[in-house]
Amino acid sequence: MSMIYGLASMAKESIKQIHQLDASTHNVANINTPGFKAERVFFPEGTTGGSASETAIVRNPSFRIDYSPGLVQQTGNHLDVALRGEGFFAVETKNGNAYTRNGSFTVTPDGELITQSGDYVLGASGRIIITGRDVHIDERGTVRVDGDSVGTLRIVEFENPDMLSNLGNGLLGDPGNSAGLADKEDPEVHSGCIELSNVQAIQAMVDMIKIHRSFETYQKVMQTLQEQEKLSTTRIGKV
Amino acid sequence: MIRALWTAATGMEAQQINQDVIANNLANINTIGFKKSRADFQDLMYQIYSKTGAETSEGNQLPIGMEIGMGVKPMATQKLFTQGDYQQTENDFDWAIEGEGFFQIDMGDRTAYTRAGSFRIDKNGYLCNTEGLKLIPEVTVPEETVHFTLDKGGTWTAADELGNTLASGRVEMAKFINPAGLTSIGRNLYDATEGSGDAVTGYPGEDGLGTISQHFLEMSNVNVVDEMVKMIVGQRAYEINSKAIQTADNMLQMINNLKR
Repeated sequence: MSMIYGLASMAKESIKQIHQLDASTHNVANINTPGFKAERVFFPEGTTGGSASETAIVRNPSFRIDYSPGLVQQTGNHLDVALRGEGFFAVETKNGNAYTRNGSFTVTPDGELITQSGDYVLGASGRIIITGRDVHIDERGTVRVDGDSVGTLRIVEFENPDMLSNLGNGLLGDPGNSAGLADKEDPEVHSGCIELSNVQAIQAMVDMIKIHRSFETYQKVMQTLQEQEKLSTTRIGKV
Repeated sequence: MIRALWTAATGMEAQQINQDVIANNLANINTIGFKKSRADFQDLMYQIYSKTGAETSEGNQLPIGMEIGMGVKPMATQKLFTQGDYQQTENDFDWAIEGEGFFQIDMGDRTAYTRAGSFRIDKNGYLCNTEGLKLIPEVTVPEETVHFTLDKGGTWTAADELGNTLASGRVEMAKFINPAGLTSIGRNLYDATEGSGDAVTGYPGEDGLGTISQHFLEMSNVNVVDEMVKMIVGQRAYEINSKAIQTADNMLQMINNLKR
């Protein structure tokens, strides 16, 4: 019985490594995605020993988004903006408000400021409409068309950003309104730049090696356990 | 199956597109008025394993849930309208735009826009681009013209040997609120799109439009060093994605070897 439990727990450990690899690979796939933040899956310790409950091991998998800043690249486009320090641009999607670090914006035919995937970029007082000749976004996030302000980008920060969840398309959501949304004071915006992905190739490579080797270890343990089991069923039977 | 296999495949595909864009930039390193592109990516949807704030079987609330992404997708290619370098020429009809704006080219059914100011005169005396498409508004250069001058504001004068003005006019340019939204139709030309907004025309040097320099050409804004660095980064990104596939494959193999 205990051996079977050993096998089962090793299988659970292996599954954890597969989850880790899935997350790591997602990071690696987004190594060139502007504004992308790496995510890490981790499994809280302390649930393995003592209790014989097998589910305890993979019961509470968690992920955490790494909000460290990415490098900033100059593009020269007026509607590309990078945010300095913490914070997010607020956007309006079909399913409510969302938040992003990807400040590569464009406009609709009506001049509404949108993200590359078509969500409306929010200003302090709703959508921002740009019609005119010359657009410029200043350091405070104020959008100026031909010198006149048409709105200020709404830049927010969260007391507890760990509560945010990924929505894809570079967006983060706060479905439970539990992350502590607040407008960022004195934001600093750089126009003509975008923030690159914060995925570190070295970190990703090290993670993959670690995952691979841990997985291999668990598999070896499982093989050993199987062999032991075989021995005990064949040899003990002979005595 | 391990999802990482498919996730890494999306990563490799994205890097391929990235390399295609870089290769096109490099191929046009000597194309007059060429503007480089950038491939834009976004992360794909996430699979939610456990929701943040969800209740566990013991009645506790999960402080943080788990969600794992499915990779990356190519989103858009954007043109980067930074200024290219200038090259001096002896040709009266080589014009470079300093600052923002586009020359307007008559495509027959619509207007196209270009930064390539390398013009010539067709057999009827009209100024046209190297493909023979007329500049808008039309510039007609009389046959007897010996001196053709163009000032920074776009006013042109065609004069004979003695300096008598034969014809004159003013070149107009177009400007877009979001030039990054223009689509390239090849041959150095751009079409206006919903994303770029409508063209606003005006005279050079006015209303934020750039000025024109005669006897100069604007070269491509592709920077070899930049593109090489991007190519290296792209290649390494491709490589690391392939390593992820190898890792997943190895792990699958180990699983298969469990049963002997």
